[in-house]
Amino acid sequence: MSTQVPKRPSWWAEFALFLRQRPLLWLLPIALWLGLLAFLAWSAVQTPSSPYTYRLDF
Amino acid sequence: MRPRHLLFALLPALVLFALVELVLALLGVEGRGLSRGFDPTASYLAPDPDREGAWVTQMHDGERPETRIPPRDGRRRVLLFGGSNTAAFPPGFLQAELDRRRAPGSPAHEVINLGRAGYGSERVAILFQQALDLLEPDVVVIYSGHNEFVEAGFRAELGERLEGPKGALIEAAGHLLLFHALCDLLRPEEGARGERPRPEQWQWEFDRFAEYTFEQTRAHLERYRINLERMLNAGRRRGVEVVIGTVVSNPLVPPFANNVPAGQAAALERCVAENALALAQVPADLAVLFSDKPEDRLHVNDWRRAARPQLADRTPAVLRPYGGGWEGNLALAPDPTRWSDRVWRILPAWERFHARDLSAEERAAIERAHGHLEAALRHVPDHPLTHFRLGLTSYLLGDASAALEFFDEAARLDRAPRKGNRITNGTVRALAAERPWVRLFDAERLVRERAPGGLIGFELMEDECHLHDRAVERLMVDLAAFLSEPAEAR
Repeated sequence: MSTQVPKRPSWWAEFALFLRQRPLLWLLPIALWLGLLAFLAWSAVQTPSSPYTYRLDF
Repeated sequence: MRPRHLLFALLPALVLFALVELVLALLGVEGRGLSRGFDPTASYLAPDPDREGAWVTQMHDGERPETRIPPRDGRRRVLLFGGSNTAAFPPGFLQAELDRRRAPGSPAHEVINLGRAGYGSERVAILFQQALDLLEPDVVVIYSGHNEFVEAGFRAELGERLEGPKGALIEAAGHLLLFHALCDLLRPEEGARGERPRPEQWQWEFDRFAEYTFEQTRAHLERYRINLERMLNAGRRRGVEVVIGTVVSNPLVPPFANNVPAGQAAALERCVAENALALAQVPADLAVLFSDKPEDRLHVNDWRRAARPQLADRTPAVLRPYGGGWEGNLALAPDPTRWSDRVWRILPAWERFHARDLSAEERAAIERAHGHLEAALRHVPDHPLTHFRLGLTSYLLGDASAALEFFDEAARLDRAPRKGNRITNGTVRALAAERPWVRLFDAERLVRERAPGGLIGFELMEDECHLHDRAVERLMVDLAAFLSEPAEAR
């Protein structure tokens, strides 16, 4: 019977393991962040740069 | 989830977006700012990437092509500043008129139009300073005064859109280049114009100032004076020839905001009641002229619809001749096949108005209406709409000079004027009079001199402040003559 304490995996190895095993958990923040930015950008561009927009096709 | 795993979950997003920011910065992506030009540091002019020493405007948001300004080439450079009226000044036409008049041996002209629809003096002043610094003009022409409340309303709209949590998030996101790249990606091809309500639905726009008192209106127009002063003085410091114009307005458009202080509610009630009694007397085919409803106002787009050939056989209304070589009636208006149904509905009323062909009964009715309106004015002496309606009845009863006075007073008292008036044009004249080095192009006076009885109308105007395109060309001839006056003749 070995008395050697199992070596804790390095921080990087643990991180790599996390990326491999739990892809949804790290993809979700990216998707949420991108989605939020896109929504805000879309909202921002709905505001014109001037009050008058002379549409001629009413 | 353990704290370490939370860090692992967020780290890829942080690294990815940091890298994206770095790459976008290396690619030269820049934030456009969200102030819509109100921020004094907003960049209205950028170096033209396609031509050394040239500039390109950054102000049209896709609604119009940006203006490219070539490097100076020895010609006399004239810059035009203002709102939509200025934007409609045809630079090529003005340039040709100026060149036609130039003395032998004097340089040719280069006219650059920096007008932008909807710009009032706040943004014109910011653009003006940047253009002075970067474009090295010889002459600057300021034609601005219709848009002080148009711009104020828009600024309020921006505030409303950017208030609350979403607005705070947009403001915060404005620090990220990725946000601006996404804006560029998502920006509608022709700007946000598709989002705008039709002009006849703009009551909400007038209602923004429903609480304004006349004192607040005056205080707001003080900003206009300060902005003009800033521009004139900046032009002087730069050593350029500074020209400022009064603006041409249509007195036959009713005021937009008629509020009275809450303390006068009872008087207002009596004033409104007298107005209602007056309206009940007005012949049905003239009633539309007394209306201030948005759907009874003519707008720019009413004159520029897609042509409908079936309208070619209809006989348009006959309005008035003009003097000074300007074509009257509607010769300067767009072709009648392009008029909207609203134009066809309202112009016959103006034909009857100008002809004043009232029967004895109708005249008696207008006299009664006039009496009710005078009574209304006794209740609220500064009620803009009552002044306007008294202008109509005075004219119909044959007193054109009293009518003009009432119309001018109605425009002056408007709590949220969307056209130049005695206050704004008076400001321009006063600022020019105080500064001998400023040249005053008194466009309003020049046009009024040609209008029958000094009363400008829809012969020249599309709405409250826009001239028909061909009337703009006539005005450009005047402007070219003014700019070409030899120094000793001034």
